[in-house]
Amino acid sequence: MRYSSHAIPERKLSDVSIGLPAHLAPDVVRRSFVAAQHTVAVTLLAVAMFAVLVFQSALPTATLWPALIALVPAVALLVIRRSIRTMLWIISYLVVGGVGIHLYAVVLLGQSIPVENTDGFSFLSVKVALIMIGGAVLGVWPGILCSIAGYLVAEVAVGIAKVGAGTPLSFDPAALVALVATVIVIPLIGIDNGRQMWAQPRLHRAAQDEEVALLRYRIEVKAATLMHDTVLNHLAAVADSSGEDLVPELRNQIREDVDSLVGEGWLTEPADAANHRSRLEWQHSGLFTAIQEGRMLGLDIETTGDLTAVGRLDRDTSIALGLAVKQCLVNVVKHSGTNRAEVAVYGSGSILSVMVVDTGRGFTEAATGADRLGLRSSVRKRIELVGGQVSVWSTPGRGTSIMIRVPAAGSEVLSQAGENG
Amino acid sequence: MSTLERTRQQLDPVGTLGSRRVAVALAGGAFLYGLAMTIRSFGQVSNPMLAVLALAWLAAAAITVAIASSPSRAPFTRSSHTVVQLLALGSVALSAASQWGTNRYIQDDFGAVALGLLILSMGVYRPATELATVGALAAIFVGFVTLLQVPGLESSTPPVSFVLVGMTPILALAFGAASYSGGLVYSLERWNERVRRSVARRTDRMRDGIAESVRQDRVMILGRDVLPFFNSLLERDTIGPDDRARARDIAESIRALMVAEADRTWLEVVAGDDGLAVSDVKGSILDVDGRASWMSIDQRTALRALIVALLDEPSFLPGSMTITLVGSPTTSRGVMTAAFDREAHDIRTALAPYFAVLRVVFVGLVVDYQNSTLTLRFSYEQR
Repeated sequence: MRYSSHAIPERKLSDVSIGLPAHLAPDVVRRSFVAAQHTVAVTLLAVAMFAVLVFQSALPTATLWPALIALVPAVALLVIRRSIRTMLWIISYLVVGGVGIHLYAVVLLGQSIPVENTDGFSFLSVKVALIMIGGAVLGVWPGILCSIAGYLVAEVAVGIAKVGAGTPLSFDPAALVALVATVIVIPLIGIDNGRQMWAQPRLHRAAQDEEVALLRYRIEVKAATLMHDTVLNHLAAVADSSGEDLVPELRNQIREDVDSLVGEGWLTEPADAANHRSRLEWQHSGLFTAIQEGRMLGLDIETTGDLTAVGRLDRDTSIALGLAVKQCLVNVVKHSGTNRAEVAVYGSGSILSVMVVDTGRGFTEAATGADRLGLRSSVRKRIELVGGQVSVWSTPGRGTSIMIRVPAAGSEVLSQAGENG
Repeated sequence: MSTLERTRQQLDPVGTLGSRRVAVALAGGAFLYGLAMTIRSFGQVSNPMLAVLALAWLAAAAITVAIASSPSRAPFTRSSHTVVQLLALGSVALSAASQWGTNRYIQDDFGAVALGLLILSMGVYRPATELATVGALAAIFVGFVTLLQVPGLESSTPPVSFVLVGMTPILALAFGAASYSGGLVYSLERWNERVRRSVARRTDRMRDGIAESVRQDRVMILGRDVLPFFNSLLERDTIGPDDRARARDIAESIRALMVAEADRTWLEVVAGDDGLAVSDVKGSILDVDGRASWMSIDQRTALRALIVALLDEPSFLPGSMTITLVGSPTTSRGVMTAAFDREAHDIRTALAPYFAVLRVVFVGLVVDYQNSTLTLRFSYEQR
């Protein structure tokens, strides 16, 4: 029989649902759009340069490589755009790009290779690279105007080169289509769904509330398990006691309960991080204490396995483990009908496993009203709070085995859950 | 919940609600470009039937983008993207076949630009790496199709140059799309990280206050019965039969209270905190197995935000909200209903942002309006 675990989420705020706030979103979208335009431009220029290489190797006698050099400054500008002020960058790109395209066209038109209107060489790539200037970072209208400026500069640069080479001027519809498409998309990108952005603050609020609720839940679990371990156990001891006198041991425990529950600082977390992480040796571990206390309850406890592995636990985990094991031993005393139990410790890598085994009467899930709470809040929840897991196997007449697995120091689960334990 | 993909739609569902018009414009533009180029170079078409089919496939690809980008179908999945790609590549192949042996120029073939525009239209919906990879693969495919046509082309330049002409638009637009997607995600993650830190700081500052309030709650419970009882025991130093019975009673009542508390999930707390009478809570939230505690933080945040928004909505009928969680040991199904004093359809716009978020964090969210009742259905896996 295995209990399903009551999951406690990791302490991690959501990735989703926060989203960009209304005052940041349009800016981020515009910047990303411009970055995309520049990626398009770099790709187009790179392909144009590669094409020059291809032709140069196919026509070794021609002098085409200067066309490749002519485009290098424009590519360099695109690469370093973040380190130059926007307006200055835009003007530089128009000038450097325009001159580069002009020289590129001059070199290519000066050679006897088929250009334009065949697939060999079109100037389309370099023209579009200039249209993708990315003025939209300044707003919709600057974006549109810059694109038009890039288009005109590119056409004029190629046009002058053609006139110089004696090539007839021709209209390039593809470049105009690229310009129109860009100009249409810019305003669409700029708009954001302002109407629905008001939901954003509420989502932020929900995320914060969720975080607080989780913290409160953890503290409540801690309080509930503490109460179960102390007050409820001592009430049970009173109810089960025989004789007239309050035995000194019980009196002391009750006095401690009263002091600690009413006193302040009962639930506060240890603040000192070094102390928080400090490892306790076996003699000082929570598990050692639990076993000693179990023996005081009259149990014959056999310990096996690598007990010193407990030293690898951090302070919170060690305490939680000790209290959980103690509750298991209390259950053995109260319900199993035997006074023998075994506590086995296995340390493997990042996980430490502790098994509490008795050969008593066992139980079925349906018949465990009171135990259910003991297991649930004192054992299971406490262990889950430090990132561990609890499994219970029990068969009526054959005894009970409780396996507690907790992360040892340095493992990943620990770093997320440990600080809240 | 599946793991979130690194797309703007999944990291910022609300902000992406308005992005559909751009996607539709770009996908529509891809089709119009295909139509215009087909008409312009119709002289090169040897098989008009195949040319029309190519346009039909392109239209299907564009329509797929338009449908899959609908906020009510969010998120835009990888399989939708695959469908778009296959249709578009099919269209490229059909178009090449329609001009087989009669194609004279590669630069007036629509395939590469149309494909590039389609990839660009998915910029906010798909991750950068996927867009770049798919773009590169599509470019290779188009380059290959181009290479097959080289013998019939009207030019004497090296074959590689045709391949370049064919591939350039796809590469440029796909890399542009990837850069757009990646840039948005980068900014979003940076912003989320900042918010996360500030929330954690604020929560940490509240820690002592919360601990103190929990302590007071406990002391109040204990102060009523346990403390007086313990104090009287300590005073008298004896235990009588009455004391044993009283100890048993007190233990029983505390235990009952703790069981009730342990069974109360965050969802009941939220519903109870926000305006429903405590007696109503059990009736409103039907969650026998405590499945609400299986939800991830993202899911809780999204559902919490919706509940708070519902309870704040002026037309919401107080107490009319019900949430039922049932299912198997691994999968839970939720049904949420709420009633309003007008047509539920009218409050659709007000709640749309919350549905957008829910859609991303839960599996298969279905929103249903019937008269004045709103019904949500969703499911999630136990993590």
